[in-house]
Amino acid sequence: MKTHIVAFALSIIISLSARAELKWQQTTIELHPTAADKQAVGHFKYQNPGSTPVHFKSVHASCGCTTAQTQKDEVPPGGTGEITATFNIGDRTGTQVKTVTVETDEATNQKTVLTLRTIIPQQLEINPTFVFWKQGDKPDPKTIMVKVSKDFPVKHIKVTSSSPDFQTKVEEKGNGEFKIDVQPQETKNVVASTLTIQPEDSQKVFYATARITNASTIQ
Amino acid sequence: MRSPLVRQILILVALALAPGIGQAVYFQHKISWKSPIPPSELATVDQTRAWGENVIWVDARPDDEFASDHVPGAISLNEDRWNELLPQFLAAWSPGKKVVVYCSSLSCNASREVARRLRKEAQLPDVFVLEGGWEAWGKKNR
Amino acid sequence: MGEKEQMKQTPNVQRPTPNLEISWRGATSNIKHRTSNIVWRIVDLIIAGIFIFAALTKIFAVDQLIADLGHLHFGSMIADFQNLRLADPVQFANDIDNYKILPWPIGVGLAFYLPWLEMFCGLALILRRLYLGGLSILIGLVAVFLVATIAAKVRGLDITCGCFGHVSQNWSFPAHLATNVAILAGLLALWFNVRSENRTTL
Repeated sequence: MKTHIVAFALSIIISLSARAELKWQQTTIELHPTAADKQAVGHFKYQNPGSTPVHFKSVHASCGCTTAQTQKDEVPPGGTGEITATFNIGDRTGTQVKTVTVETDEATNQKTVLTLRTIIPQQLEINPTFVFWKQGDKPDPKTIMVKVSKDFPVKHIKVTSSSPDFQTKVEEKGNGEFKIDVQPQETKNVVASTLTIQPEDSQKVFYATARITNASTIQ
Repeated sequence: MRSPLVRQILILVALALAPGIGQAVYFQHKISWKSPIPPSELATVDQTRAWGENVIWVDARPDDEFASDHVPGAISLNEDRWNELLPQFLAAWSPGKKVVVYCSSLSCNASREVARRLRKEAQLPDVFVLEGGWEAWGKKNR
Repeated sequence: MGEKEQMKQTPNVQRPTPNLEISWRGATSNIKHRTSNIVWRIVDLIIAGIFIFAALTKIFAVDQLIADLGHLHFGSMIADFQNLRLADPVQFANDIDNYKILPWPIGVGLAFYLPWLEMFCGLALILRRLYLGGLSILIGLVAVFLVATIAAKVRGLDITCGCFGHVSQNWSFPAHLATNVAILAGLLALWFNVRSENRTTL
């Protein structure tokens, strides 16, 4: 029985020592940028608790939309630092998870994956963002529903069409919902329009597309 | 001694079956049972060849990668400039066309994200992710 | 009559009763035995807790809850509990698929089944019902998992998730390996302890 206890204790010690590496304050950071932010930046702080310096061999992100930089290439014993991960939000929506893989010359843990989780606030949810009629179809109105996020209360929205070939009508349904009826003048010609949807008192604009398309091309 | 052990193992194995099956039934329509990406959303290079001129190629990679090389006739549509690039894609689309989205290799998530947004936001039918991505296309066509 | 027959028939025979000596030794041995039992019970609970936690991370979407726990955001944790939902099984199915050993449909089936098996075996350890069966299954699971992890590493596969689903996705290979070896060692220690107890009682 004693042998069993010793064996178990040894295995715990081995597992603990195997994790003696560059210590990260956090390996997952969650960011909440505002609607106006173009970038989300995460700072991954680390410390070298060991007795030998640690060198960074490579730091690379999972996608081109994220860049990562180290402050230094070498971390002396007892030294601290951080890796800055910058995620370019672009026109992305929802929860975006990007990773940065850090490779060092540590004996026990050469690869660390840092995760940047960005919750992009969505002021409006537009469904669908594309309405179309085939050439020759009846020019009946089609509906686009707009739902406003609870975090961004909006009373009114303004919709403008880039082409006079399409007319729009906005109806407030209440509860943060709006109904946009889009109707073409006629469907003889292939035309398109970008519908600009702007919430009241907001700089940010949203888009939908209306189009008369060619007839089906199924062969 | 062995018999009680086997009996205990069988009881535990059977006990875990019930909630496991319940969960599987709950998720049966939300998970693809045959492949990691639902087969209705994947297209191989050979399949796209069979579709011929009916295919619209969508390149979900960043601008610089698209500029460097891309499938002939492909339209760039990435999440960095989604609002700016979407109209030109929609201008090329018409009902009946099959949209095939690709990026660099199957593990890249960009093509799946672009495909998902085209299905969900623009509500387009027949949107596929190219199996094997840009690399697979290159192997078959170069 | 034989001696035994004589003894049976003779009442009030004074028998030697060295009670004091036996009871003193018995008390010390009793304390040692109880301490040992407590220690093994703690090991039971730790190992069971590990497997039940592992099961819960795969059945429920607990990433946010664990992140808030790590940051001691107890207020947010209440909201997290209220918003707790079933985890997307595709995640764990992908983790199994990353090892490239089993076909996808079997991986999906295991993604639904294995967390519940871990949960019930963990409960078996805590409740001491179906104990040996639970222990055997857990030993089998961890042993298979260890072999699969080493095989994946040898084949150069990028496996980013381990025994705790996506909670352990940032762990390095040595950390994964060391954790699994430690858990297996604990399970085997429990196994041998139970077997030696059973031999003693027999």
